[in-house]
Amino acid sequence: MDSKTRKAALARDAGVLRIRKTTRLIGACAVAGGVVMAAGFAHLLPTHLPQVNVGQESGDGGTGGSSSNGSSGLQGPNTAPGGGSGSSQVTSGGS
Amino acid sequence: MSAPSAAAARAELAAFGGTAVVLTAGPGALDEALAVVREHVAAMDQACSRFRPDSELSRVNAAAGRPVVVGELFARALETALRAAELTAGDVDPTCGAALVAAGYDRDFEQLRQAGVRVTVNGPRPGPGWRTVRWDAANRRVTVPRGTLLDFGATAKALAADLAAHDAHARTGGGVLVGFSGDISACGEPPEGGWRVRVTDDHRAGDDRPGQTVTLVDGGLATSSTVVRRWAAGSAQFHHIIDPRSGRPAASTWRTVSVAAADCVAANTAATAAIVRGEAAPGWLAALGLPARLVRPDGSVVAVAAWPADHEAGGAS
Repeated sequence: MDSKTRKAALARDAGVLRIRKTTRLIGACAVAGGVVMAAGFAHLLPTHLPQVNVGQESGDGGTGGSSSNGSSGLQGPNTAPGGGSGSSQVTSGGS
Repeated sequence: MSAPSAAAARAELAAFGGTAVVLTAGPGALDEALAVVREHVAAMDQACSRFRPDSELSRVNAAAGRPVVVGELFARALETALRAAELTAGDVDPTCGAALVAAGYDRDFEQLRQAGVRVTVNGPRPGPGWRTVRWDAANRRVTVPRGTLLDFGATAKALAADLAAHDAHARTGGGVLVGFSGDISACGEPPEGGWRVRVTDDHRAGDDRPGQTVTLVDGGLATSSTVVRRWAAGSAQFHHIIDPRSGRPAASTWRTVSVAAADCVAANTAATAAIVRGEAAPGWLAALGLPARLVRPDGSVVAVAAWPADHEAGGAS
């Protein structure tokens, strides 16, 4: 191999090495950027989607005993309203 | 089950921009029940008022996309509102606050309906949808997207009625009925024959107004109406029941809908959804087995499920 060819081969190898280093640097930067982005926007990721326990017990042991947050869904009353007469005690109307 | 008492005691107080009524089956329990109700009114107002700058709701709405840790009662009100949205396929949606503001409902309603008040109306703002609300139940942390305003108008008052009636019954041991501006919850043994409830357009109306008197044993009974909470901007009329999909007040297929259910939250959720659903409402309510009374703008009445027949003259509403 003459000196001209050897120089060309060395230049080629040096170029390949530079490209390899640059590729690795870009990859590392991409990974680091992804980590930074994930950390910065983590609070926007849903950790707990709105939970509606239709047909299940919610296990809610909060104040009061309403079934509003429990399993009832839109359940009918235990006893349907009956016909009434006479003066009323309370009014249900728009507000 | 003990024998029902014949006498009932009654008290009124101002609450949630309307009139609250507390009934006890025994007269000796009224003061204690009233104290319990006052506690619940104050707590719910502090948590969920859209018009109090110091409420938790105002703090959440002002957070503009940042997560906010909330108290137990607010958490319960939020979960109730989200659940109502899911159960009604989004007809009752807590993300309609901005739509209400755009329609001019940007202050306490008593101020809004004063003569001569200047009302600013903007274009309709459809609700972004309840699924955009991020709720971390384990940490009681809510995140509402920037520009979204929560409003619990369809559920918080009813939830307060359920909680107050239950607690008052637990405290007194007797039958209690709590009504907040027409959102009624009854718990415990009622007086003989049940609680006599007038259903009509306006919760402030007397028995002389068109309507129907029914008896309630327990559970919830609620009425939603488009004819009471109304305001004008120029020649345009608005009411407070928003169709989340359009961001506009719902079409007036029904002027008033009353529903009975297992509790007041379910009753008010169904009544409000029925207004939004329009002609589809009777079939939907019947499929759910919810007794209901729907009144058209002309006063004609449609009774659903086991709602009692109206024997009043003419049967008009």
